[in-house]
Formats: sequence, C-alpha cells, structure tokens
Amino acid sequence: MGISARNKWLSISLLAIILPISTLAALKFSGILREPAPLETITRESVSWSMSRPSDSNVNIGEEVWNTHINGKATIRIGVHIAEYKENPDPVIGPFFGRDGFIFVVYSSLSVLQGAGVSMVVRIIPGDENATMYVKSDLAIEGNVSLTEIGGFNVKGNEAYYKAKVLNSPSHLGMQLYWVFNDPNNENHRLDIVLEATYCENGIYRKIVLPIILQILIVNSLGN
Amino acid sequence: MWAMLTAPVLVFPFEIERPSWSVSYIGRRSENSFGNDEAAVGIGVHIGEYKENPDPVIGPFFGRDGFALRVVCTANTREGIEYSPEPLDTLYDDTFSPPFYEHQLNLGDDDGAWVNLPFQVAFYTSQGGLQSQSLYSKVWICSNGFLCFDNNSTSPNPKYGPEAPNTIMAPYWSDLDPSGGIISYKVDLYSFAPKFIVSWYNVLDKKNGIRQTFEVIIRKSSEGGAPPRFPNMFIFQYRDVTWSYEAQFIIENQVGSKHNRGILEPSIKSLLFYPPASPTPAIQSLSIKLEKQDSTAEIFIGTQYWELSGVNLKTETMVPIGEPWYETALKGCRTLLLSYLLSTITGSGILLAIGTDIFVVGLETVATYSAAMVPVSTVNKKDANETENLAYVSVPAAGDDHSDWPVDASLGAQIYWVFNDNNTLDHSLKITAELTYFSYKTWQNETITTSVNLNVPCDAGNDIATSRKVSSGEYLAYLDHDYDKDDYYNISVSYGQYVEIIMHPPNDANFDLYLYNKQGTIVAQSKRSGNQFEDITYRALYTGPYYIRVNAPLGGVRGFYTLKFLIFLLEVVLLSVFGMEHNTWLTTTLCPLPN
Repeated sequence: MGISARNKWLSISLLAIILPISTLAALKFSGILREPAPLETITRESVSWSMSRPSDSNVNIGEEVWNTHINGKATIRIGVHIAEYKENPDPVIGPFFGRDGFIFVVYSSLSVLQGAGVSMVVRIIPGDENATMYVKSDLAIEGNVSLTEIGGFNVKGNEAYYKAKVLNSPSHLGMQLYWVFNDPNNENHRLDIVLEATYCENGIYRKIVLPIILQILIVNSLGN
Repeated sequence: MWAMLTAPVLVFPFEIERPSWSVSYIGRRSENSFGNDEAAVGIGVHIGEYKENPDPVIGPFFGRDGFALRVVCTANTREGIEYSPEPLDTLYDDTFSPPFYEHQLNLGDDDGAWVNLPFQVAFYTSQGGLQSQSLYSKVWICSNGFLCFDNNSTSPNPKYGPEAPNTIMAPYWSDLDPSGGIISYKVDLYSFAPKFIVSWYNVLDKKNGIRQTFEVIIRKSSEGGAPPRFPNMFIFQYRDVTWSYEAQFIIENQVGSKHNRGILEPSIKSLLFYPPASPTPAIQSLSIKLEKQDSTAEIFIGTQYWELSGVNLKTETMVPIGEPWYETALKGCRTLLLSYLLSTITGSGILLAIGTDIFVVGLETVATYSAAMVPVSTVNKKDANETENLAYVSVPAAGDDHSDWPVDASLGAQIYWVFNDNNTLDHSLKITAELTYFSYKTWQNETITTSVNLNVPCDAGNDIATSRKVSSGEYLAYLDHDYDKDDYYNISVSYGQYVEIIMHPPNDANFDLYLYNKQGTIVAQSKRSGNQFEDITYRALYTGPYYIRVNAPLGGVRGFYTLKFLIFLLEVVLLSVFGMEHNTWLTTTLCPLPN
C-alpha cells in the first residue's frame, strides 16, 4: 500500500519543523551553540582631582590620580598623570596653537587571574563646550593590547574615546592626551575620564567602569 | 629613470643659543628656495618652542630638552608651462557677434572691473590635483585691452617681465578709449564648447585714432585631446583691428618670466592658445629630510592630523584642517614665491620682489592657504634615533597618472628635535625640502632640493672662565634673571682694532652690556634704562681676548636678545668710505694709540 500524496507532504512538512529544532537543541545541550553570555556591569565611584588654573607660561605639574577595582580575580586600574600646563604657548606649535591647556597621560590596565580580558574602552567626556581633546596616538603604549578604534578627538566639546582589544593578561595601555581650552582664562573646566574594562570569567562577562574626574578652576571661583 | 639635479643650492644657517629655561614662544623662522627652468621648491622653518627638563612621562621629549619646529615644503612646476600660439586667418568662433549687451561694463578711460568667471580657469597653471588653489575664479577686465588674473592694473602701456602687472591675457594692449564703444562679456555654458567671452567693441585706440573690435574667448576646458589637468584653451579673435605701433598682444605668467607678445599681421584674425605644446612637468612627491650632525640628538616626526598636512598630496580625507597652523612657516617670500626668478634674486632684490604681485600664494592669502591644507595619510616616514643621522617624511602627490598630477603642492610637518646631552654640547640640523617631478624634457623623474641649517650652540657661560668663543657676527641668545642671568662671550681682538657691540633686549626687558679685559676688569659698559638697546665702541689696548657680558639685572625678566658685534680698523673703514689714501693723521688724531 502506497502512501498517499497528501500524507507524504504532511510528513515532509513535519520533518522540516522537527529536524531544525532537534538540531538546535542538540547543539545547545552539547555546548556548541551558546546563548549570549550575561554581562554584569560594576561601576565604581569616581575619583576626583582638581587644581586652580595656573597663570605661568610653563608649569610642570607631575601629579597622578588613580581609580582601582580589585576583587581577587581581576585587577583593573586607571591612572592619570597630569604632566604640564601651558599658558599662551607658540601659536604655530600644535595641538595648543596658542591656546592654554594641559598635557596628561592616561594609563589603563587589566590583570585577570581567572578567565580572560576582552577589551578596554577609555571615554574622555569634556564637561563644557569650550575645551577640545587631542590625542597623540603615535606615542601610545600597548602592552598585550591592540588599539582598534580612536574617535571623537579634535572637535570642540566632543566626547572622545579609544578602544583596545585585550590580547593577553596582564595588559596595559598608555595614551598621551591634550586638554586644550578655548576660553580666555575665565571658565572652569571639567573632564570625565572613564575606563570600561571587560573581562570574561566562567562564561560571565564583567564590565568594570572606573571614572576619574579632573577639574580646573579659575582662581576667582576658589574665592581668591 | 630618475635624476638628481646638482645645481648649486644656497644653505642659509640660522643660529639660536640653547635657552636655559623652557621657552613657550620663540617665533623665529628661516627659509630658502631653489628653482630651475621647470620647477621650484621652497622651505620654511618656524622655530617654535624650546623645552628644558620637561615632564619625563610626556613624549616625544620624555624629560629631555629640545625644540618643536614647524616645517613647510612648498613646490610648483609652473616654470615648465609653455604656450605656443597658432595664428589663423579666419575667425575661430563667429557664433556670437558683438556688441554683447548681456553683461555690459561701464568702463571709463584707463578703467577696469573684476568679474567672476563662470568656471575655474587654469592659466600658466594646471587643473591637476585634488585641490585647486592655483585656479582662477575671477578676472580683471581692463578698458585698455587686457585681462589680468592677479592685479587690477589700468596701465595703457603694454608691459612684460617681472614688473607688475603679471598673469596677463592681452589680445590688444594699447591706450584705448571705450567711449563710443562697448566693453562687455558673455557666458555660454550650454553650447557644445562652453566658453567665457570678453569683447572690446569699437573702442578707440588713441595711438592711431582708429576704432578696434576684438575678443578673448576662454574655453571651459583644454582641447585637442589634452589630459584634463592641462590649462584652459583660449583664443584672441580680431574682428576689425588696425594695429598701432605701440599696441601688443601679450600673455605672461605669474612672475613675468614667461611670455608671448608681438604685433600681428593684418591678415591674422585669430590667435589660438592651445594647452602647452610640451606637457607641464608633473609633481610626483614632496619630502622633508632632516640630517642631524651629531649623535647626541634624536628626531621625531609627528603624524597626528594636527602635525602632518599638505596640499595636492595623497590623502584619505578631503577635510581641511581649517586653521592657519602653517601660516608662519609659510609666510616668507622664498617659501611662497618659488619661482626660478626668485631663486635668482638675492639680498635687497627680495624686498623688491615683495612689492610686486608675483607670489604663487599671495601674502594676504597665506592664512587661507594654510587652513586649506589637508592631513596626509599615505606617508613614508622615518624618525632618527641617536645612531641614525637621517629622518624623513615623504608623501606622494595626488593624482594617479599624467592626466591629473598637480603643478602646485606643499607638505607641512611638526618636527621634534630632542637633545640627549646635559646642556654641554652644540647641535646642528640640516633640513631639506625635496621635490621630485616628472620632466617631459628628459622623460624621467627629476629632483631638486633646498635647505636651511639650524645651529644650536650650548648656552654661553656664566663667567669669564666658561665664556663662549665667538667671532664677528650676530647672535640670538637667551637670558633669564632667575636661572641664567649672565652670558659671557670671548672675542679675540688685535691691538688698535675697534670693537663695536650692539645688544637689543627682548620686549619689556632691560638688559645691560659690559666689556671686560683679560684681567677681568670692566673697560666699557652700556646700561641704559628701560627697554633700550645697549652699545659699546672700544679700541683694543692689547692683542688678545676681551670678554662681552650681557646681564639681566632685574628679577622676573627673561627672553631672547640679539647681540651683534664687529671688529675693525677705523682707517680701513674710513678709506673704504671716503676713498682716501692711507693717512696716519686720521688714526693718530682721531684715536691716538697709547704708547
């Protein structure tokens, strides 16, 4: 007795549904097909640093500010070395081109004992419209990381960022930045520097957010 | 094939004493240029800031001293553009018959007007390259029968050569009176061959009393199968002309070094100026080379967008920097003029040249030109560490082949010259701008260069024992009352010779000047109040060393001063000035020598 054409098409249709579902189920139970790993974000309190805006032409500052996250399985740090302040520099030499501002270096590091580092993203967020961020990426220090993207620099008031892929642990990244002021010494300035370091531990992705706030205050606002 | 031209190249040394403290603004520049009959290359160096003991974490100095420089290399191959006019005994284009009333110009005698061109015109330049600063978008129409692209001359007398006006297209240059005639122009963008026409209809030539009718036709593009980068074709057309003896047709380039001129036979009705008979030399690449002369320095060439830019060079973006960051480095007659003519002008001739409109980029448009520079990305770059003498950055020209290579280009870079010694050694650096272009004369790449030398001697000593030995000349040096308040110089003078010393302090500073003998006793001094120059004239009482001291007496005062001194014999000067024969009376009467 042969199978009727109607039953034949019904069987094919059922198979077309059952086969992909069972394949997907098999892949999932075997661990080949994974669900997106959950992402856990931990944001630490910001660390602040401030100073009054100098009036001298060339000031070596040499101060540092750090924010750290240590949990026994991973150590994440961001540090800012505030190096120099420039007042009325040469109008032809960049990136200040006659404007005032600071030179600083941002260090970020990620050391993972269990699991693996994934990425580091540093966001530079000016708190006002009268500042411009410049980057000197040709002097970047890459330790077990690879810079993947740099964006948003050189535009007044713009949020800037740079991203790096973590290749191994421990990893670190150093970047020289210029915080250039466009006002004539009459405005306070604020800069939020935020490290977003992501690592994976036991199938769970953890993003650690470490903010640092830099503030430059004009003397009058300090109650001279 | 490739060849390096070995023509003599002037090298201008620039000397600046190593400051004893960080200087945010030095603001000095040096420049040079060189050209041949095809191309020219120029270099401008802005000596920017000096760093002394900077932050050890910040690069590229990392705690070491050094200078930040802004260097610009500029080049053009305009000198290689040649037009060969072709006469016709018929009108080239009779489509439009004058008078044109579409755009009539109400010009008086010896008058003119600027008119916007309907398309950009390349005249003694090229359409090549990605940027078009070298193209003209307006033209001056003069009642005396000529067009000018760079000048608003109304001269009734035909001129050629370096004297302004230049960049001339003159179909019939004479003393013309437009009254009773019509001077007008017409734009035709929709015909098979779009064109811009200027007509002088029935204007009176005061030289022969005859009314003349003639035109200039500028075609929108080059013709005859020429590559698109070639200059526009243009035609002089003579409908009714009786040449006076003083009238001339003239075409002339931007610097007056190339021209065609003359009087035409009455039978000639048209004169065609096709794109240059021989192809224009094409810029292939620009390079900046830095050769340090010692092994205690390093050179770092910045590559950020604010450190490396150019015009008509290979780029990934066409977004200009938008700021006049290279203006100071560019702003010099040698850096901007860049012609064979300039390279033959020296001394006061340069000042004469500034007075005329012969710049490829005018001084007034330098800031605009600088802001139009675009960050370059396709870079062949090498820094120099202590053991390497040569650093360079080289960028290929925009364009892919002979059809669109440029005739104007520039490259600007921020350079860091880092010193590894502890203020104890002299340093020098030779900076060379190099242009490589393809010559259709030799059918190979040719290279021309021009250089400047920067010399940085270490700080003059703070006492007689550590004084800096110098000879007659001019010195730029730095004093800072708080960190380096004295500079001592050691000079050798013969018995009876005069020493003339002049010191100009920096703005708002009061520096003093002293002269010591070999016993360390002051023999002359100049201590004017306020921000005045100081000077000393002294006759040597023995043969041997004397010591010049420049002193910053007041706290908080710092800056660069200029020290000039000359050692001479008075009788030699008098003889050279007055042409006198040797006269012992002069020396004994005016300045008696001691026994």
